[in-house]
Amino acid sequence: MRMIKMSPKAFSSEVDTGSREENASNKEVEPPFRSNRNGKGSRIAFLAATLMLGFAGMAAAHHSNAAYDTDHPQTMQGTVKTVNWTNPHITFVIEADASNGAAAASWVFEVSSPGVLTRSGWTKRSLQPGDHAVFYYAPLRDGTLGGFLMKVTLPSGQELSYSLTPPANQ
Amino acid sequence: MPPDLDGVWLPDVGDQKRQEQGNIPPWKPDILPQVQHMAAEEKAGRPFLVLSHCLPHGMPTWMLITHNAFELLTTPGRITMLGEVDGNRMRRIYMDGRSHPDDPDLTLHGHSIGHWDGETLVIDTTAIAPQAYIATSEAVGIPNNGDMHILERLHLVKPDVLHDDMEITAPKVLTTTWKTTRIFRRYPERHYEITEGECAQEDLTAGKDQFGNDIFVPNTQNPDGSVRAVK
Repeated sequence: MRMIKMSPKAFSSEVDTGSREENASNKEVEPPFRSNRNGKGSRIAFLAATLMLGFAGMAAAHHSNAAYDTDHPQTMQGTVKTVNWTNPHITFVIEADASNGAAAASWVFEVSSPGVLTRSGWTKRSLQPGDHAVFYYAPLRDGTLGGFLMKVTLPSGQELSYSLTPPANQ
Repeated sequence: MPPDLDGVWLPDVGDQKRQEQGNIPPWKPDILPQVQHMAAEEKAGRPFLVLSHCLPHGMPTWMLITHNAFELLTTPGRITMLGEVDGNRMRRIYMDGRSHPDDPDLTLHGHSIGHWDGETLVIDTTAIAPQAYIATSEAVGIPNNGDMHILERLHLVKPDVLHDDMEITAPKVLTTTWKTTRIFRRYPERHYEITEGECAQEDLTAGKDQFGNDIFVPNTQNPDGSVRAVK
């Protein structure tokens, strides 16, 4: 769906991509672009890598929230494993508590962006690896473990939430 | 004396949503089915990814649907708008009396010239790339397909509330000029700043190359744009 008007072949001589499947499945992945760090070459290679990811249907970056069911928010408890303080959306990897016979599992929550959360009083350290918390979220419609994070309640009772448009006097 | 518009402005996202529902662009009959399809797909949880290319939103979509802040800076002869999130978002509004170029290079933000009409900043924008979307949400948008012209009148309705009254003329996709307003707020007491934002960041995650250098490596995501559980 992205960049469909551009031909990946235009960049193919600049980049050693390997196969897309390799890139997708190899966890100890080498970069799909050469480590050519001098200017234009690396920039083009980086763009090409981004394009290749797009064609592989993997990466999608900035997106609508339609994949999340905001009409049926839910809560879960778990421990923060990873904080990715990135644009356009921040992601938190959470290790869910084992409960009711369900095994512990990794979940991924997305949430707004660093700009929005910073303006709502968060920092990249508001939630840290090892923190246990209650997560209030809009679940993924396909049932995958994860969702769009709406609010967090820490054991101290402190709530972390955010607003795209903070309340104003005017 | 024109008003001071400098500072960091945040969109009124609630009002964006009301506009999305209540002030629909006058799409041409042959364009409308595309829009309706996108709206249905979004409702079904299969959003069309208007912003997934990680290019800047471009004009007029930046002003129409952004969820992020922009900073407005006035310098002699020019007003500059710097944005957040999707890469090199920047509008230069020339206030020095120049005209649009005869043979412009088309860009996603176009070529903007401005002037003050009393206390209203009037911005005229042309030379917008045909691929720039006219989007009403992050899942509904149509490329303008060329020859778009945007006229904006920015004015303060309160000291820290800015209205951008837009008139969007896009003869390839709209039957008539679409008039719509977007609201932005300034929070001077909170000292907000815009953050650096590269849209591609979430596609990537920190890793190492074979030499041990710190690099970004691909992050698994799904076609709907959401991130899935990682091992």
